[in-house]
Amino acid sequence: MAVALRDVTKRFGSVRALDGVTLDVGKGEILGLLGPNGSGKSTLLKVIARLIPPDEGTVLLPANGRAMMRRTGMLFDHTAHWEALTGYENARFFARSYGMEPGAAHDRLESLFSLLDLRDRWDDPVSTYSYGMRRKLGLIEALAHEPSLILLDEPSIGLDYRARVTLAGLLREAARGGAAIVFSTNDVNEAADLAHRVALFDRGRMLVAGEPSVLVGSLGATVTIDLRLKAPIDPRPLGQVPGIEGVGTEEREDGFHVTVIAAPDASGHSSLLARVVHAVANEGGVVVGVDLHAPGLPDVFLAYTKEGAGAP
Amino acid sequence: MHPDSFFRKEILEDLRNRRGLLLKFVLPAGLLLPLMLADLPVSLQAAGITVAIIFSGIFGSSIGLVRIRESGMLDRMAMLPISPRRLIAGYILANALLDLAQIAIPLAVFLILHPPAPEVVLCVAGAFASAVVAANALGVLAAVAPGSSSEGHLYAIITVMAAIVLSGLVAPAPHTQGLLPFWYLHAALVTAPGAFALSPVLAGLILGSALAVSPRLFGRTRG
Repeated sequence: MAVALRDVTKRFGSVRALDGVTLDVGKGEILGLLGPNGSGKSTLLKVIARLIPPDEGTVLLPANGRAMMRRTGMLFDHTAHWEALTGYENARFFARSYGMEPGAAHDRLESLFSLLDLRDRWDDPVSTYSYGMRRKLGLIEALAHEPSLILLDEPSIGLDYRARVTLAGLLREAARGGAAIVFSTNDVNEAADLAHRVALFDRGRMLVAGEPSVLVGSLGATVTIDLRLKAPIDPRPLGQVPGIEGVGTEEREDGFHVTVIAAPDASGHSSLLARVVHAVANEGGVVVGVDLHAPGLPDVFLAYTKEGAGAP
Repeated sequence: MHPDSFFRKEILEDLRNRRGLLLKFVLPAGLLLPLMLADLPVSLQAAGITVAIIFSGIFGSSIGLVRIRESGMLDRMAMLPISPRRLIAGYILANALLDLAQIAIPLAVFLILHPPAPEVVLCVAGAFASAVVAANALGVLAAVAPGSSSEGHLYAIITVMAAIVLSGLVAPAPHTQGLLPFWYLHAALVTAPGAFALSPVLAGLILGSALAVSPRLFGRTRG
């Protein structure tokens, strides 16, 4: 286990920023922290980083003190840098401070600056950087020394789409190399795409944690497929398709509609859709439009975090 | 030069900020050179140089650190596998070097106008270096408590005033002036042989205190 938290509580005055959090993060795992603003995600990252001590509970890491700091990379939620220094100089300061040799630091930084499209600006002072460029620089500084514990506070904020894709690739590669990655985000879809597991927080409490597909399945919500057909068909055989829980039809102005209600399919919604379309075709139907609504992590987020909910 | 340490980073950052660097040299010279060239008692001119060291050392280091902390950089540095004491030692050394350079010109003028006895030259040099290091270390101490930039200014001003008064630079302070290295610099400048003796020890004590409390500067983060 790379990180183990046991009953961690942190208070700021009368506010419980973290309330009895127990959580494990394995080597090679990417854990996404989700939750409304002020739910304790950033505090949790800082507690894991040992920047703030918990009031109660324990944080277990594979090493202590400076040995652990050397293996940790952290992106903060702010964009603080040495403004008068160039992007390269900023990143080099951190790389060298983490113990990288000058040559290795230079090569690694050049690679990361290029990957994040910042190479042509690395000799410019940070004071001339945009917000997004500062965030990219922060990521480079957090990842350059190839840490085995990566803590990222809202890493994709301010990043363009290409940089987001690159970041996801970098994190997946780091995880394949055995790094434990914990990131907070307000982007539910990002968490669903990137994280192996998601932990949902609200008001300092961890409401639920698990693989995104398992969390979605736990909602018990159904998949709705609306098919628009060229001509009416007999819908009854569709009810025999595995996973289908109900079938309805409706004649509308734009055509004949068949609405299918199904249980979420663990193998993905595309295979369910294929089975339904195949069954429609067997009945001689010609599909001219498809609308699929499937529950996702956003539904999990909304279900757990609605006022006073705590659980769906 | 690459910023491969906090010391180098500070030096590089100072060199990059050319306007700030120019002001740091022009201001002390502009304030102190008329004082040196005026027909004033030597003790007053010596006090002027000592006060300038106290002011630039304490204020510069203190406000600089508070500003770094407000920017969030101290949180980031708290994540580095380098001891806070080593980081702050580099900070104090870099700022002390800059202060030495910026006060060196008025001091040189003073020494040309009032050549010290040969046996006092070493005293002046030692007391000068000790006073500069002590002032910057006091600046670090003054930066530990403030929670904001405005509080930082207040703490720095209080520390500067206390250092001036307790060093006997305004009026004799027989019970306290020997406890701070600034009085020894003043005494060495007015050519009192042997005045240097205790100043490195006192500067070392103040530096040690600053390094001892330096971990409190880092990681003062909130949710």
